[in-house]
Amino acid sequence: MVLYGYVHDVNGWVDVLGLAKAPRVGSKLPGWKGRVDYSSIKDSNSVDEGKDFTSSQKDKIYALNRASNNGYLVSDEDGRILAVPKKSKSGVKPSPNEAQVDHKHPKSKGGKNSFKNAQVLSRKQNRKKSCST
Amino acid sequence: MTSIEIQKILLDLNSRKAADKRNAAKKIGKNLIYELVDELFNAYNLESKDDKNWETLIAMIKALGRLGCEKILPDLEVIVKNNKEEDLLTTTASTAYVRLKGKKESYFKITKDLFSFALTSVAGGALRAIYFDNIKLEESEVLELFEIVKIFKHLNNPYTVDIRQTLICILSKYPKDFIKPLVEQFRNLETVDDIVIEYALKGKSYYANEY
Repeated sequence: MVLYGYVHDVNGWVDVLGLAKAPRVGSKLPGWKGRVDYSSIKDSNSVDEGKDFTSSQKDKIYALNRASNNGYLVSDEDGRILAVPKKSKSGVKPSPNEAQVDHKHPKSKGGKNSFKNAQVLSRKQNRKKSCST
Repeated sequence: MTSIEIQKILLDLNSRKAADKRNAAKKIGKNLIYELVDELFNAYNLESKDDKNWETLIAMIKALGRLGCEKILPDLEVIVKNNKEEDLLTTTASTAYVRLKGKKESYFKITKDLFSFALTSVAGGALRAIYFDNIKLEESEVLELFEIVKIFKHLNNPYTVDIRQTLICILSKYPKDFIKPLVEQFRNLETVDDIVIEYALKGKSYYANEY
């Protein structure tokens, strides 16, 4: 019997006894029910074309995403579990699995910052999508 | 605005960072800093060679339009004539174009001319110029504009701003009795929020009057 092994993140919590079955960031959420529809959240009159989502809008979107996915922040594209977004710091490379709020219909093509036009993606998925619909 | 603040804006405008240039252009437009028009136009000329920086270009076009820089008109004319569908740069260029041409001609005439070939972005931009600049059209012109917008080929894209919604905001500045039969024709459309109609009937504009 081997009583030692490598851990994924030495700074994180280590499940020494291997009892936890919680899915990790980057893995698919078991039993994912598909993308979340954010249009149930009411828009304010600051919604207009070409505008970014405000931090208050983002908070509401993340909260609904978690509520629909058993408390996990999950990508609306493929059901991957995402990391909580952090404020960017100079010299620190952000995680490719960091959650971001994206315009389904791109801002450059006149997409509004309405909840109807929102989706949660990972940083990597958002970069790959770029300005395509 | 103090000369030190203006110097800081000028430094940002000539910065290598796109975010600094964008913020500088926004400040120049918002605070109507006429002494930096030429510098802003030069920065626009450099920036327009790289179409990747569309957000910076949009901020610059908005500001130059608001400051009445007529040197940008030929460029705007090219963008408007390209008439791209669903393109924010085209919408912004169209707004600035109507504003600049509107110094010598009526906004209504320019808008009507644009509608003869316009797709959604050019049409939307022209209506935004009338709305943002609080242009009071004659009632006969409003009725004519309404008919033009009514028969316009709408995309019905729920993720973008429907130009009928912009028209409703323009109508909110007219008496309720006059606009009620018009705005009610846009009720229950998927891409027009009924709340915008309710606001207009109360004489209020739903959208913040940004420039």
